[in-house]
Amino acid sequence: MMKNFKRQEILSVGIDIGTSTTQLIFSKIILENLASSFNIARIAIIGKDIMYRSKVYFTPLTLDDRIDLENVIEIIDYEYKNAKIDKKDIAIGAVIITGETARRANANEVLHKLSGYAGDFVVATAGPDLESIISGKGAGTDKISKDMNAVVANIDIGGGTSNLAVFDHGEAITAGCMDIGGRLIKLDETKEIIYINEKIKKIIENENLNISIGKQADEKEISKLAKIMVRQIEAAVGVCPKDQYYNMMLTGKDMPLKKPIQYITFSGGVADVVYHQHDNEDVFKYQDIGVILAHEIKHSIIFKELHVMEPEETIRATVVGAGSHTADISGSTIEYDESILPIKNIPVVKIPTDLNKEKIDFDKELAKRIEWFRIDGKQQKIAVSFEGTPSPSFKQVEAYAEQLISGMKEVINSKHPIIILVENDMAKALGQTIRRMLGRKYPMICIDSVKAGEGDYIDVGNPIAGGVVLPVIVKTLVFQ
Amino acid sequence: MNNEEMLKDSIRELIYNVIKEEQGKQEQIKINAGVDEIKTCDNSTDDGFVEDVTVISMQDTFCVPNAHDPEGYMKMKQSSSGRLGIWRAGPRPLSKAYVRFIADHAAAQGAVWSEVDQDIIKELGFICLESISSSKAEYLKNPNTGKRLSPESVEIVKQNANKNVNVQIVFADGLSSSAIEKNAKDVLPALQQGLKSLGLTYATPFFVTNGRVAVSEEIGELSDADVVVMLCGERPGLNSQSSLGAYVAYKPTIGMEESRRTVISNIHRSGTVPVEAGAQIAELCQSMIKHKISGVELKLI
Repeated sequence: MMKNFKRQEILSVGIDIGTSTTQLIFSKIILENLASSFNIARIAIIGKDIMYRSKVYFTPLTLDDRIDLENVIEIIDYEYKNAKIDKKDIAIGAVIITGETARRANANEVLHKLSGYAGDFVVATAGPDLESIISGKGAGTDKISKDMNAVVANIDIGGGTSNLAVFDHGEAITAGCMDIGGRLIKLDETKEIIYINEKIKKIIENENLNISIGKQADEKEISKLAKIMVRQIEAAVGVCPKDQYYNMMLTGKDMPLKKPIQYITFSGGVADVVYHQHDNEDVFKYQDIGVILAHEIKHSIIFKELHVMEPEETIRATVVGAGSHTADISGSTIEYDESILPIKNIPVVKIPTDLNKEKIDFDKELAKRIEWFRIDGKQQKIAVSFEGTPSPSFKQVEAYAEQLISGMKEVINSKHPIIILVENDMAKALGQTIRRMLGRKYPMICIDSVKAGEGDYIDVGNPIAGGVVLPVIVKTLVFQ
Repeated sequence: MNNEEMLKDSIRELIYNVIKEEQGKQEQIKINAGVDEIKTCDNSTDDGFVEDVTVISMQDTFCVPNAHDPEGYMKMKQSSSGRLGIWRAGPRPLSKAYVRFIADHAAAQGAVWSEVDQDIIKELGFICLESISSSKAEYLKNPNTGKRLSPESVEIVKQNANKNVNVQIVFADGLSSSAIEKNAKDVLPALQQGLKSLGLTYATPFFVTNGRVAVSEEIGELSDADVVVMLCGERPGLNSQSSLGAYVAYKPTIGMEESRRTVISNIHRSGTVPVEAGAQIAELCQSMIKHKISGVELKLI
């Protein structure tokens, strides 16, 4: 184990397969030891540089509306070659399937095939809330929120969905998704309407708008529709009351605003037009309603009620988020068995209580929750996550170790590795204590400074920074 | 004129009477005072208390009235334990902030001048040694006396020195007895557990009263351990009175260069977490034994 680590750059890839576009980026993640020479190493990510951006491709689909995997692989191969990057050099990365594409029949299969294809530790991510946070981070909205100490929202308006993420002092506090996007109506070269999304059809019927498949697209009618779509976004950010369409347009759960939004940024393909609209532009040049939607956003009361800012990225926000902002690193005092790394897609069992706070037995609670992951009498691999105690005493560490071992009996009986994620800095002492109790040979990963919740999945990569830290990706549920 | 004289006279008389009356009253009060004082004394022992101003950490203390963004300020304060946002009364600090400053200063002085609680030394099973300083005062005024063991202590080390152990752990009060009191019971078992799991042997730890870091050199020579881990109380400051420093050296010798020591400093509750420091020092010992060096040279590997 090396302790004199100063600086390292690792290569990360991000691949986003969205409703309308597919993109890829490579970025350099810079790690540095921030501790002075008289302290234990404290490795932190100090910078992220995007070093290569692919072209923006239309997402290839097959005739029966599946994702055309072969074509996607061709795109990836071409871009790797063009960027002169070898898959072996990729230390970390994420593939994300977003918007309507996530609902295609073969989405899950494509996602997992690609994550293996793009590099050894490139993980698969999806889920509307995660998508929102990733695009918000890619847009740089979290940074704006941190720098200005303010509540800042980002809305990533793509082809199929609009993803809202709200950051307070840099931390994500709300995320949600609505079925509002630029390609919910598609046209052919002659501006004839060839596709209308089901939810949009309902609005058209209800409002008696003159929009239907086979007809020529009419700017005025579509503007009326776009106004209603924008009203849903306005309601979501709290500048106008919710109307009868609001609940229908939500992709999943509603996104209650915990705090009033002060600033707002837009990202996604439609945002590009919001910020950089030209006059006399053909509104149907992309053969969809994106430009009209952007126009209506620009004239929305959001621009009067909230302070609109420009993000760092617009159309590439999601792919930048996937490439630069999904991976994190563990704390710098940890215990692990290198032989069991990397681990991928391990479900997280979260113990909500602290040993001291409530009189619930930690081990019994843990055993109960672990039992949820018994399928056909077989115990699945799990990772245990809990808050821990800030600066615990040695006795407390021993108590945690005992309770964990007792609660994880089924995991140990099944000879699965012990994977522990604790928020507070205590993993090295805890890991060593567990090893003393279980024997040194039992496979174990015990890392800290990692926050993971119930229903999350975790990936842990091979050691970086001279073995001092492990790369970690915490994901919300892949496909609900 | 007459009128004026008369007026002055009557005023004089009035004042005289008032003073006399007041004196009479006061004398009465004095007579009653004995009883009253006893009563107040009784009450004060029952109800009186002085608020402990050091209960809330400096990082959680915020006194700016009507702040524009208190949450933002608190977030900012998380990155520093400095006295930020303590407000003022005119050009001076608030009484509360001033008293807090004095209290922290007193705690720092207390840490230097106090002795380590004997119960803790017994509980942890330390073998007690002394430097050649005859008292705390001599030790502080003539720091060189903290670098060598008294003749009696040399004998104790010789008797207890366990030849062929890998690691000798030594604690010294240094400049903060409270650093030992607060952290030893968590650092020590974590360190010993770590050494054990790495297959390294260790001897019963020593504790040196009025000892400095360099006293570990003499212990190293006498005990012949591969590595000496010296855990010494660090000079207290206004923010941390109980910070421990680990000075780890491979085969230390008397008068050796400081560059041969590897240092992990700032071990306390809100610095390097004591249990994690213990676990980490164990690995450090392993790497010193493997490479047979310590300090700057170890960093160059």
